[in-house]
Amino acid sequence: MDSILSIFNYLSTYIVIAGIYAIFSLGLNIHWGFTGIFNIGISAFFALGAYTAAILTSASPSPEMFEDFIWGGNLPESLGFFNLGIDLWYFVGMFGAIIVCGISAAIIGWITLRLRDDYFAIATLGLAETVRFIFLNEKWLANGSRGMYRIPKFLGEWFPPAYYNYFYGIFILLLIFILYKIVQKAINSPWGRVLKAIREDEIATSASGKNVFLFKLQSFILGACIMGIGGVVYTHGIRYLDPLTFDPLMATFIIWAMLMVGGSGNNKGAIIGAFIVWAIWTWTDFLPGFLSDPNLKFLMIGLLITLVILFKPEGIIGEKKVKLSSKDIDKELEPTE
Amino acid sequence: MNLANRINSIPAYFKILLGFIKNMNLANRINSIPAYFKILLGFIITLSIAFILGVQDLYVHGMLIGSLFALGAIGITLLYAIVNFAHVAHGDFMTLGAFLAFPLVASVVDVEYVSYADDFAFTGLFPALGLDQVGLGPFTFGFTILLAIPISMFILAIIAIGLEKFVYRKLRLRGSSDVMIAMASFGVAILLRGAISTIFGTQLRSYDRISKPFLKIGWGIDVPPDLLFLGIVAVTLCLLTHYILQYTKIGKSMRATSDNPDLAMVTGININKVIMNTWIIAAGLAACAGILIAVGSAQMVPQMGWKLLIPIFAAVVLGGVGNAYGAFIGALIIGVAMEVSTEYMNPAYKLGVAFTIMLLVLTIKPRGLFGGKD
Amino acid sequence: MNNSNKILEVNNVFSGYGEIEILHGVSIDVYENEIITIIGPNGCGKSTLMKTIFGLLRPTSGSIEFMINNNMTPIHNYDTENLIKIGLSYVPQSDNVFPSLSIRENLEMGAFIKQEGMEESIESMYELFPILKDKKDDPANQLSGGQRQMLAFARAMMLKPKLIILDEPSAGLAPNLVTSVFDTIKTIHEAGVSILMVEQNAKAALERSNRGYVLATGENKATDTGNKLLNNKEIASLYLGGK
Repeated sequence: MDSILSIFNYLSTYIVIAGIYAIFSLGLNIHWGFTGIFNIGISAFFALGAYTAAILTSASPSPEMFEDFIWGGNLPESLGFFNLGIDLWYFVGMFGAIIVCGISAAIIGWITLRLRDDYFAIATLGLAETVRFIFLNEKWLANGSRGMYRIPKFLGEWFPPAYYNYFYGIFILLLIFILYKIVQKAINSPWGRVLKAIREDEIATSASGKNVFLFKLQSFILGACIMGIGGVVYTHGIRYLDPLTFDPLMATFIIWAMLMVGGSGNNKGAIIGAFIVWAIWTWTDFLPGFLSDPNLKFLMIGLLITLVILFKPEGIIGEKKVKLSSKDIDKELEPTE
Repeated sequence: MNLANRINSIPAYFKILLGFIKNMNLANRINSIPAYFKILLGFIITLSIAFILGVQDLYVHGMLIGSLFALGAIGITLLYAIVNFAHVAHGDFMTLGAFLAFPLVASVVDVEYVSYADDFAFTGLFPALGLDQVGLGPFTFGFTILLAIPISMFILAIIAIGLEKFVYRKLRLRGSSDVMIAMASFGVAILLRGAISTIFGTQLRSYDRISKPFLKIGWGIDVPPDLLFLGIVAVTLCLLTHYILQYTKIGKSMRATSDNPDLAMVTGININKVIMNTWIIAAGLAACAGILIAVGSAQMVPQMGWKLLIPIFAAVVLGGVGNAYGAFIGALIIGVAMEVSTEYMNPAYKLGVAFTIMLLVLTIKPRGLFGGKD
Repeated sequence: MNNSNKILEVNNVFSGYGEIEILHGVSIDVYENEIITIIGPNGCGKSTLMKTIFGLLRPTSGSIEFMINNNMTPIHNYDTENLIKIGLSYVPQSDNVFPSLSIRENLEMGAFIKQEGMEESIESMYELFPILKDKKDDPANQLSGGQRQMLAFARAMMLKPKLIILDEPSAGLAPNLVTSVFDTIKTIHEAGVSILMVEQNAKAALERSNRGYVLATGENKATDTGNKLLNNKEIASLYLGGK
C-alpha cells in the first residue's frame, strides 16, 4: 500500500514538473515551431514570470527570516476583501507576470526582430543572462542568491499538503489543455497561417503585403507570455526561487530538447516532448554510477538536439506538411489539426 | 513678404561664412578621413578621457582583455562572412580549447567521469615529461602553456572540421536555412559543454600557477604581467590573421567568397575548401582565446564560454558583422567599456554593459561602426 | 562564311532548374574567333543556356562538346575548375566583380586555379585596359559601371581562354555606357578570344557579331549572320522592338 502511494506521489510530482515544462515548450513552439524565430533565452521569460508572481504574492519580508527584499505584494492578503472562496490572487499574479513578460518581449523584439534571425537569438541570450544577473545582484528586489521562499500555494488551504501535488498536477494538465486550445486556435487562424508563411519564406510573405515584423513581434510576445505563465505555475508549485533556478541548462536547453524531440510545429508534439524528455531526465537518476551523472545528461541533451536536427527534423510527431499547390502563400500550409 | 529683400538683408559676412561652410563640405571631409586615422584619433581621445576621469588603469586592462575577446570575435565574424550563420557554439569552442590544454599542462589532472568509481587522477603530459615549470619570469604560468596553445588549436581545428563535415555541410546540402544551421550549432554548444563537464566536472579549475606582483607601468597603471603578455600573444595572432587574409591565396579566396560566393564559384574557387579553411582559422583562434582567457582570469569552468558569447557577439555586431577588422576594434571597445564600467557600477553587470552596447548598436547602426553584411 | 575550326558545339540540349525544364532542345555552334550573340524575349532560356554551357546547370539530355587539343570532347560533366582549365570563362550578368577586393586582387582571382604566368597576364590586362592599372589598388566597388564591366572581362581573360561566355554584358548600364561595353568586348575579341553572349540590347550586339541565334520558349527559332538577322523583318518585329 505504501509503495503504491509512493509511486503515485512520484507520478504526481513528475506530472507537475513535466507539465510546467510542457507550458514552456508550447510557448517555444509559437516562436520556433510556427514563426521560425530563434529564442535561446527562454529562461528570461521563465524568470520574469516566476519572480513577478512571487514578488506580487509573497508576504512582506521579515528580516528574522533573512529576507532582504523590500517589497512583497502580498496579494493573498490584500485581495482578501473579495473572499469568494477562490484564490483570485493567483490569477492576478499571473496577469502581472504576463504583462511583465509581454512588455519585455515587446522591447527586445522591437529592437532586434527587424534584423537577422541570429542577432535576435544573441539578444535573447543576452536578455536571459541580464535578467539572471539582476535578480542575483539586486537583493532589494528578490532577495538575491538567498532566493524567495514562503511563496503561497494556489488553493493551498483546500488540500492537505500530502495530496497537494495531486491537485496541482490535475490543475496543470487542465491549464495545458486550455493553453493548447488557445494556441491551436491562434495557429489555425489567418494570423497563424501568416506566421507559418513567414517561417517558410519571409521574403515572399513580405512581398504579399504582410508586415512581417509586426507578425513576428506579436508571435514573440504571445510565446513570451505563455512562458511567463509557465514561470507562474512553477513558482506556486515549487514555492522556492533563486537565480540558480534559471541556469540555461534547466531553463532553456532542456526545453529546446523537449520541443525538438516532440516535433516543432506541432502543439501536441511540444507537449508530448516535454513529458518524454522529463521522463528520461528523471528516470535516469535510477541508473547506477556515472550513468546518472547530471553532466552526462547535459551532454545527452545537446546530442539529442543535434541528432534530431540532423536525422529527424520533424521530431516524433512532426507537422503535417502539404505540398505546395497554390501560389497563395497564405494557403501554403494546411491546418495542423 | 518680400523674400528678395530679406535675403539682401542678411549681412554679407554671414553669407560668405555660409558659403565657406558649404565649400568645406564637412560630411564628405569626415568620410574621406582614412579609417585607421579615425581609430587612432578615437583611441587618443578616449584614453585622454580615461586619464581625466582617473580610470586609465581600467582602460588599459580593458584593452588587454578586449584583445583576448578579439580572437573569438574574429572567428565568429569570419564564419558569418563565409558560411553566413551565427556560430552559437563558439563560446564552447573557447571553453574546449582551454580544457584541451588542461591535461597537457596540469600537474594533477583529476577526471570526474571515472572518479565515480574511485578517485582517478593522472599527471599532465608535460609535467610527466619533466616539463612542469610554473612562474616563468614575471608570469604566473610556465612555458608549457605556450607549448599547449598550438596543440589545443590543432585539436580544436580537427573537431571543427569534423563538425563541418558531419553536421553543418549535411544541413547546407539539404538546403536548411541559416537559422536551422545556427540552431544545430546551439545543439553542438550544449553537447560540447556537456562533454567537458562530464569529463572534468563543473568545479572551478585553473592551470598551475604561482602568484606574481603586478607590473607598475606608471601614471597609476598597474597590470598583471600575465595580461600584458597574453595581450601581446592575442594581437600577434590577430596580425597573423590579417596577413593570411590580405596576402595569401587562402585569405584572398576567403575574402572573395565572402564578397560574392556565386562569382567565386565561377572563377573556380572551391567553396567547400574555403569553408574548411575558415573553420580551421576560427577554431584555432577560439582555442587560443580560451587558453589565454583561462590564464588571464586564473580560472576555468565549463560555462565560461557560454557567458563569453555575449561580449564577443557584441564586439562582432559593433564592428559590423562579417568584418574581421571591425570585430577586432569592436572587441577592444567592448573590453574597455566592460572594465571601465566597474568603476561606476556593480562589476557583476559587466555582461549587461556589453549587452546594452549591442542593443544600442543594433538600434542605431545595425551595420556596425565599420560596415558589414546585412 | 568561315573555314576555321569549330570550338563549341551545343547539340539538342534540354535543361532547367530542378523539375522545371526551360531549354527544350537547343543547338549552337561557335567557331574560332567568332562573336556570337543569342537574342530572344525574356524567359526564353538565354541565361539558362549560358549556365548550362558553363556547367552551373546540368543538361538532362543532349551534348555539349568543346575543342580540347583539336578534338571535340563532351564537357557537360566537367566541374567549374576543369572548364576553366580547358579554356572556358564565364562572366555573370550582374555582381560580376568582388567589390571589396582591390582591382589587382580581382584579376588574381581570375587566375585562381593556375597561378603561373599570373604576373604577365595582369600586365597584359593593364595594357589592354590602362584605367585598371591606374586604380589597381582601389577596391572594385569604387569603379563606375562601365569600368566594372571592364574589370569583369579582364578577370575572365586572365587565363587566356578560348571562349568567353557573357551573360547580358550591357544589362543595367546607363545607355551611354552600352557602346563602351561593346567596345570593350571588341577589344577582348581582338586579343584573340571567341565570344558567346546573350543580350537584351539586340541591335547593338548583332551589329558587332559574326552570327546570331534567336531563341524563343527554349528552342532555336532562327540563326544567321548578325546583319541578316537585323534586316529580317519578321525577327525585327518580334524580337528587336519592331524596328
